[in-house]
Amino acid sequence: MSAVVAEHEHDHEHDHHDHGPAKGILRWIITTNHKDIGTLYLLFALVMFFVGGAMAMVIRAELFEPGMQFVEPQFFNSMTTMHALVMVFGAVMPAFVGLANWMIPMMIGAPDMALPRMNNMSFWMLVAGVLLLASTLFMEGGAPASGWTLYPPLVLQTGKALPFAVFSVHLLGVSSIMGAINIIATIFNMRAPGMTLMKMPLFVWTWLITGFLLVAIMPVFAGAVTMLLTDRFFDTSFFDAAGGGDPVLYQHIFWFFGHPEVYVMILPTFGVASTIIPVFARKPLFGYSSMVYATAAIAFLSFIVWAHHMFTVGLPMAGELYFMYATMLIAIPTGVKVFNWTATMWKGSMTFETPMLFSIAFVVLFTMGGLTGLMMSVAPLDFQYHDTYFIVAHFHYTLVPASVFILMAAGYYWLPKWTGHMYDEKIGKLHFWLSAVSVNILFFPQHFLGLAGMPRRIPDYAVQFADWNMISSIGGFIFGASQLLFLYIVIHTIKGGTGEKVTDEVWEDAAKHGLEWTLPSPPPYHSFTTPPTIIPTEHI
Amino acid sequence: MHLCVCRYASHVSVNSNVEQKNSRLALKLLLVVLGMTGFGFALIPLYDVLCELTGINGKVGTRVDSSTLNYVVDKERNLGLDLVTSLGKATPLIVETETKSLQIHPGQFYVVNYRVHNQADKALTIRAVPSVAPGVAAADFKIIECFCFEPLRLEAGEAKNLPLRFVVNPGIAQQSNHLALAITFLNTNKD
Repeated sequence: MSAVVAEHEHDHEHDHHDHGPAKGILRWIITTNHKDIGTLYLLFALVMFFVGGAMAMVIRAELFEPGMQFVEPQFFNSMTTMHALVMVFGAVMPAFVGLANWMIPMMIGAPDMALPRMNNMSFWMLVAGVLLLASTLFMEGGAPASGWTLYPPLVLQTGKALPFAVFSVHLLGVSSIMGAINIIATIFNMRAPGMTLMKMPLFVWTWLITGFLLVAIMPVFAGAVTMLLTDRFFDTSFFDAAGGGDPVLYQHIFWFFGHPEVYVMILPTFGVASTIIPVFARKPLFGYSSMVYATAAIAFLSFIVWAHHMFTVGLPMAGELYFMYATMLIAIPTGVKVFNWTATMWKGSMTFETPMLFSIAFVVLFTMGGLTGLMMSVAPLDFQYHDTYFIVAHFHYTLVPASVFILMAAGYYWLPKWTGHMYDEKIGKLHFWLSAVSVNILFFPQHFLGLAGMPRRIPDYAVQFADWNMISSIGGFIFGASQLLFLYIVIHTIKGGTGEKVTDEVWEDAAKHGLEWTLPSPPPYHSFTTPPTIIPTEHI
Repeated sequence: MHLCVCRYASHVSVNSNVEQKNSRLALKLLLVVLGMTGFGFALIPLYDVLCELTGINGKVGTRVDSSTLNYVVDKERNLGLDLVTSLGKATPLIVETETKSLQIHPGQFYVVNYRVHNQADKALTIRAVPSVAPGVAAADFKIIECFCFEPLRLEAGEAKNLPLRFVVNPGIAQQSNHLALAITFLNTNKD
């Protein structure tokens, strides 16, 4: 971050708009305030993190030993499907939208989001969508059990739940699109004078690009599930070979959405990491503009690599080669980012508070997840990895110790700013070490299982896989239980934390790195009713 | 009611110029959303067009005009060909081929007969979907005449002999020395 505030007028005139929140529960239902909505998003995401986590515990409990233990195979498959949908659409995406709501106006010197009423609507649509999705668990025939990719013809065998799941995806899509439009409009139109695009904090940049990804892909996904719906109920044959359709076509359309979608979850992660690491390394971010261009390059590439998810469906040779090379290209901008974070830390005066610990773990473990991704991009090798636990290990490394760890880091980093209270650093560190160790016990053995040929989405397995599954499950239980510490810390900090009074900056010299640290902790209900003045400084 | 909401509305007023810019940008982005919705549906024909233009389509089952083929029979090469048939869900047919496997020369035209017998006491409309393994050889497997080009109607209890005429491109890769032609018969009556 490259901007500092010269002055901030605190004594602006109070006009009739400048008042506090409404009282009582109504405050949260009708609020159009970016901080209130950000809080709602974040708390909702936290709840969904535990709901999705509980489903993961069911999965790991069933896989603890070979044979059928606790649940029916159909329900097991519902769990893998719902775990993914809840974590993607209920936890990770809303958590980043929550962070965007809280932080973007404060980071660019705006009083609020550009479209506050739509902001409220997009949050409540998300709640409706997730509740609708959850309701399918109680329907005749059970929740969708086809995997989160909802491939036909399997997904068309879903019982009564199919139309509800499809409508839920519509709601979640509309909610994401509205959130994205709001964020783009805020970033383009609400920046304080002097906050040029290339001075924006990287979190703002990554969200701007993510916003465009969402606007482009969510309608395509909504269209694909609509085709599923009409195939099932209205006698169309988009994906039905009997009517001249093609089930592989669904995979093409789905992954046109699905690959950018996984970057929707990782780009804001990059943004938060680029925000936190410089503060605790006490250096400016290394290679700011290359970070911006790398993000844009990753976003662009995400649209032209989709069929690397489909190497085994019988693509023509030219297709296999093209998608292999295009996918490998992604390693270049991603590598730029990893090296930039490392260079930022290089010879920095590093300290290791909880947010920094999570961020460093992110750099290391995300790189591991990225490396297995590179392995899978090699088309002939992918025939061995496809649909095995190797894939499960890969994408969990890029999502759990990457996206989720960075969300934790963001929580620790900004909680003192949000609440005005300090969290308990000792418990924070305990949470970090338990999570960092157990996440590897949980996911690392899954590489071995996958290479040995254990398929994903199965409730029972050959005894040769027993040992590593048991170790993985033990790691899973420790990881799951450790997250309760985070829940405790969030509640404890909101209620007053350690009692220590936090300064506006919270972290040493943080105000050099972001406008949000020039505001009081907690910040006023309306952040910058008078735009701050941005003094241009050098990037490095 | 509207007044009441306004009283509690917690957003601050930004100047109307910015508000106008915001709505204009939101509207433009909404147009992008609508465009992408259309694009999602347009992908269906687009994929076919793209595959045809680039010639990378791995699918078989499109009619090939034999007069456009200028093949020389390669008597030196013998390829194995397995004929596999399968039935879709709720498809009451008996399907037999005159042989399960045969030896073929690339460039030579062959006809194999499929005998299809409707076991149901009502007429069925059947769709036959061919597929060639290995996938890399699919483009070299040229189907000239087939019951898989159009939906196939069978009266109650009717049995039919259906010819399939094909030729394999003599340019087929050396390592493709054994092929399988799998045809799935699907009942299009959804009840």
